[in-house]
Amino acid sequence: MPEAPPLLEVHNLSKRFPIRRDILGRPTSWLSAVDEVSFTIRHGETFSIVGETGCGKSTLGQLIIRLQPADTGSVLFDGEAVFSSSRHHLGQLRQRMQLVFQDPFSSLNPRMKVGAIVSEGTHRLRLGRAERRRRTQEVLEMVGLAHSYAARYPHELSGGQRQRVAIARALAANPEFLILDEPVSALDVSIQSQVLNLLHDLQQELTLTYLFISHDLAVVRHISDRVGVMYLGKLVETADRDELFGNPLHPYTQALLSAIPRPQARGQHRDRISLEGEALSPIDPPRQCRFASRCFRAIDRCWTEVPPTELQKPEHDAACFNIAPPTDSNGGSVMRE
Amino acid sequence: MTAGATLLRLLDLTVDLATEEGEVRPVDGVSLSVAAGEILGLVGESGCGKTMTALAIMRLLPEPGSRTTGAVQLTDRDLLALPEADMRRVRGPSISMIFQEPMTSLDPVFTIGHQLTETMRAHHKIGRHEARNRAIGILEQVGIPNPAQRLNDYPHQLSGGMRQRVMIAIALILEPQLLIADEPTTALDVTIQAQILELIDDLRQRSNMSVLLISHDLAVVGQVAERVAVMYAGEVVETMPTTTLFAAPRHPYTQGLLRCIPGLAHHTGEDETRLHVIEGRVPELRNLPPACRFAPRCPYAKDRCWNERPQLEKVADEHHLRCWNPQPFHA
Repeated sequence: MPEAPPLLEVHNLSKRFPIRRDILGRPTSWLSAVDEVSFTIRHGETFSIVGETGCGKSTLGQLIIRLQPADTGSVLFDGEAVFSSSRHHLGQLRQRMQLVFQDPFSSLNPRMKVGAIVSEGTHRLRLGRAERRRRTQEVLEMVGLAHSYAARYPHELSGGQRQRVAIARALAANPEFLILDEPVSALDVSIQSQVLNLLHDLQQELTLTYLFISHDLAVVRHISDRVGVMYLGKLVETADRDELFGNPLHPYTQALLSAIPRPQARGQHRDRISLEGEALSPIDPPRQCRFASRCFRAIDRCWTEVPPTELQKPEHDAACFNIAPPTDSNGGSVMRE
Repeated sequence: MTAGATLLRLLDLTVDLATEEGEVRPVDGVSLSVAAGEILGLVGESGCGKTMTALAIMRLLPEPGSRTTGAVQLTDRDLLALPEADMRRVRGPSISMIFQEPMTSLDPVFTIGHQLTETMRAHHKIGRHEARNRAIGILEQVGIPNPAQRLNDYPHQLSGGMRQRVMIAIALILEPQLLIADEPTTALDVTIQAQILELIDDLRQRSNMSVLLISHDLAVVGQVAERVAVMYAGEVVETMPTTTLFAAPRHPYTQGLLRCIPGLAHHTGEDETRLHVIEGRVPELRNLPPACRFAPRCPYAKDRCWNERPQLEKVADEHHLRCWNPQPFHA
C-alpha cells in the first residue's frame, strides 16, 4: 500500500447502551457495544471490519457518521471533527460520507419509485429539477441499471438490483467515502460477485474510499486492502490484508480463520482451533481481555487486565498479552493454500 | 465411496404448486439417491427448488395447493403412497429435518426439555424419567454444557448456536436413518458453523445415519459431503463426488458458481481483482426457457440448447450431467 494520507481517523471510539435502569431511571447496567476502537483509513483504500454477530461492527459504522451519538472518542474526516460539527456542517460532511445498508429489502421505501429514491440522495447538492433528473440517470447507469428502472418500485426488482439502487442512492450525493454494511450478505453468490465487481469498478472510476463491514471472511479477503478484526466491541487486530490472512497474531483471528470451511480438505477438519467456553457477556464486562473466556492461549494476566492495542510489527497491531504466530496445524498457514 | 446400500431414492420427483398467478413447478423430475451413512450435498441458489425437494420428501407441502408426483423410496417403501397416519410414523424415527432458522422452529412457550421429551413420548412408550435421562444424554452429545440445567431453559434463553444444537438434538433423539439438514449453519457465525458441521459428521460416523445437506454454500457442502447434486431452476443439472465438484465440474452453471466465490476457485486470467460473473438471472418459474433452463445465461449455449431439453446422463462413474455442450474446467 503506497502511503496515502488518511481520510478517516477514528480515535478511542466507545458506545454503551443502557439496558437496565433503577427506580429513578438511572441506568444500572450497560451493554458495551464498541469499546475504545481506533483505526485510520487512507484515501482510496478499502478497510474492512470483520467480526461475528453482535461484535459491534454495525454500531461502529453508524457512530462514524453520527447516526448514533458516540459516548467518547473522536472521528476526523479529512481533518474535520465529525462529532463537534454544527448541524449545518454535519450535513455537508454527510454528503461526502454515505452509508449502504445490508438488507436491500428493508432499506428502500416501498412506496417510492426507484427514480425518486435515487434522486433523494442528491438533495444536499441543491440541484435544479432537470439537473437532478440527469444526475439520477447518470448514477443509475453507473450501477448498471437501465433508465427504465427509474419508473419501477422496489418490489419489482430482484435482491441484486435493489442493492444496486441502494448503492446508486449513496452515489447520487457524489460522496468520497462509503460505509458498506454487509452489502452482499443477502445476495446469492452469482449476484454477490456482480455487486462486488461493481463496487470495485466504482472505486476505481470515482476514487472512492470504503469502510467495508462484513462477517464473510472470503469476501473480506477478496475486497480489502487492510482488515480490522472485532470481538465483542474491541478491535483486536489490524493489518494489511495479506499479512492478516497469512500471518494472524491474535488467537481470535487465528481461530476465526481456521474455522473457514475448506472444501478440498474433507475429513481433515480436526486441525481447526475449537473455541471452548462461553463468550463473555457484553453486559457490564469486567476489566479483562474480552476473549479470555474462549482463548486457548489465555494466561493469568488476561483475566485481570485489558490488553492494550500494540504495534507488533510494522503496520500490524494486535491487542493480546500472549501473541504467537500461527502454528502449522492451524491458523493462518492453512489460508495460504 | 460409501459401500452402503441405497437408503433414499427419489425417482422423477415433481412438485406442482398452485399460486395466485397459476400453477408453477418448483421441482421438476428430480432423481437422486442417498446411501446409508452417506452425506449428499444439495446445492443451488435461492429459488432453485432445494427446500421444496426436502419438504416433498417429508410430505410437508400443503394439500390442497400442491401436488407431488414421482416416487420417494425409503429402503423399499414409497413414501408418497403411504397413508398420512403411517407417514407420521416415518417423520421422526426414519427421517427428521433441521430447519434453517432455529428461532422460528422451536416453540417459544415450552422448555427445551419439554420439547425433547415430547418428541420421544410421541413415538415410544417410555416413562418421564427415562425420557428425561435420554434428553440429557442427547444434549450432551450435541455439545451443550450443563445439559441437566438447560432442560429447564426456554429457547430465548439460548444463543443462536445453542438453539441450533437443540434443533439438532430434537432431530436426532429418535435416531433417524436419514437427517435432512436445510441450511443448518446459514444463520450461524463461522466458528459455530464449523462446530455444527463437525457434529453432524461425527453423528453420521457413529450411527451410520445418512444426511441430505441442503446449502447454498459450496464451501460448507464441500467440507462434509461425499457427493454433491447441483440444482438449477427446479432441475438437477449435475451430480458428482465432491472432489470432482472442485476439480473437474462439467456443467457451465456449476463451473460458473464455483468461479463466483471469492477465494475458492483459482481466478485464472487477467485481473484477480475481478470475480467471475454469471450474466443474467435465474428464470422465473412461470417463464422458463424452452429447453435447457440455463441456456439464456450460458456462454456455451448452442442451437440445440434452445430446442431440445437435455437429460441427466451418466458421463463418468458417479458423475451425471444435464448438458448438450459440457466444457472442460480450467482450474
